[in-house]
Amino acid sequence: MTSKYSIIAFASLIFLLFSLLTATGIGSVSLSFGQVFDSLLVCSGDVNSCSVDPIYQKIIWEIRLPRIFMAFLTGVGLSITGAVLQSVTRNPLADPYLFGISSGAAFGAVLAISTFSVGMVSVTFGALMGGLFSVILMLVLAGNAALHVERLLLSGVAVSFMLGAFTSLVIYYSEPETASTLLFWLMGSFANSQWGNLALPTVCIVAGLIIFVIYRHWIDAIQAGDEGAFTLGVPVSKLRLVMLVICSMITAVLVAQVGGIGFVGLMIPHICRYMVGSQLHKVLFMCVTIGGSFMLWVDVLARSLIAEQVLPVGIVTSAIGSLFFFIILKTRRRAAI
Amino acid sequence: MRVIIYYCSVLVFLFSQVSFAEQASSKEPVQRIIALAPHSVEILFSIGAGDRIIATTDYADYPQAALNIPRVGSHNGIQIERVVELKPDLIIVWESGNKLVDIQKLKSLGFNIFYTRPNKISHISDEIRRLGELTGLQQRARKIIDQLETKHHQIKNKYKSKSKVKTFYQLWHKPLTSVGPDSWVESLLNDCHAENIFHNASSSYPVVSIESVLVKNPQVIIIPHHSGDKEIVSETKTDIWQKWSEISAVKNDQIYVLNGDLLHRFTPRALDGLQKLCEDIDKAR
Repeated sequence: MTSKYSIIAFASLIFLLFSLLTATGIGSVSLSFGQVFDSLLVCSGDVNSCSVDPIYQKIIWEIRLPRIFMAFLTGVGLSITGAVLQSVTRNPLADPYLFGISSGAAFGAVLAISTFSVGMVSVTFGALMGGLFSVILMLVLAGNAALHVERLLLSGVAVSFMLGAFTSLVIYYSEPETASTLLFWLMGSFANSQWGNLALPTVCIVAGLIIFVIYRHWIDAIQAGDEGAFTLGVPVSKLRLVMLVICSMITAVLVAQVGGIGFVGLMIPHICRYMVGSQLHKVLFMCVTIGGSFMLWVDVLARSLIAEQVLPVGIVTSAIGSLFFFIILKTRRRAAI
Repeated sequence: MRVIIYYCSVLVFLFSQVSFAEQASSKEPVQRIIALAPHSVEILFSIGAGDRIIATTDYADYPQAALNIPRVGSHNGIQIERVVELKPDLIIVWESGNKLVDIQKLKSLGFNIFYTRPNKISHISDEIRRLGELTGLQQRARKIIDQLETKHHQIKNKYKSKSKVKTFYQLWHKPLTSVGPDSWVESLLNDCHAENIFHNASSSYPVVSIESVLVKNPQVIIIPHHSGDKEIVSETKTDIWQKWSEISAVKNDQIYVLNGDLLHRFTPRALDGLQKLCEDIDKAR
């Protein structure tokens, strides 16, 4: 079994590297593997002594790479939070959206964009506050019921709708230009990614991953049932709460940078579990490779599906994602028979 | 102010394949007009029918007198009940500016409806003529059409034999939006003998990437600025290009911020905008 996992993990890692290289080559100018390779490894940093045209070099380093890394981080971040949330709630539908974290972060960010005009810091801050606010609101609304997974989920759904309504209200009352900016932003985009924006998501995701891996046995225990975990000495409610907060942090930071991108957090963990079983560390590793690659390809499609135009990433994620998910469900059912 | 409307018109276009063929007609000159498009308000004032407008939308801000007209609509929609209450004998609707459901509702209520859909400067003449007929002010209308057409021909003739200039029109920066085929702005660019670099886009108002602008290497970048914009002198709109000195427009300092209120209004004033646009584009030749 271990060997099967190793093979799948290794293959997915190779696929991720392949995706990174290919995605770097695709765009308004198509660059060959060789050119991408040259630009990335042979003459990185030194623009002048390079076989690649300086303008391509600049396109790769200033536009595509920040964008690609942002896509990768988003895929990874949303997938791992989805995986952990699904495990600690034992609910296959759990993801940052279901808990209202995304809605909260979007509400905070939308409020920041519409009231404080420009400045990425305030958007990130707004999204963080919004995300945390949604978690607090959910816990307060759930009260003692937060101890029960179902009630926790239901209050999450309620909070999600409530904050979604607030977001719509803000959009309704904003100036037409701001409204169009907000609407496009809500559909998700990597277009404005810059190197500087990558730091915070990277730190949050790496920190989150480390914590998830450290506590993986406890999370696995919860996955098997609250009572069982409790007898093993796992502080069930506390752990669930801490995981919720960490997940909301990661989601909020990502939403602040790229807007609303749905479905990844729900779907990728299921695909990963289907491939390698339900042990958290394996699922997390697959989330990094598969989630990251998935988002890279979504971004490639968003950039190249319609000639001369850029589609919002969120549209592509949900459209492609749901189709892909149907296929998986179908083949899985057939396999089960 | 009108950027969102242009942007939304992409969506509207998608759903407006239903033809609104029946144009308004009236035996008597119309007296109670609700004009739901700012440019129609301006045209009505120019032909001397401004005092017959009984209601309009939030954006009608020219001429000054238009500011006193009661408002029955904004970008969020039209207050249908107010419209009914005002008993208009003509309603001017704008397919790419008003909501389709509102237009359909007004139509189903049996109002006399005039559809305005200007797409190039010659359409403005048609609209002035039609509104002149409906209001019984044909002579004033004829005079204005003559002035407009003379000026339009002068501008076109001045540039038609000059070389084509590759132009990027930055309609909006967040998200980066340009103009495509069959758009009003592209017809203006054609009049200046400029080449729209996104002529082959699949929609009239495409969202584009910096990378594709870079590859097309425009000689001029035009950025419309609107009086309603929050950001003063649109520094954020021009800043995105500063690090791309590979673009010849950036290298040669050919980035122009123009008055969008003039350029995006389908009225005789658009010719002032057109003149300035052509002059700036000409500097890059």
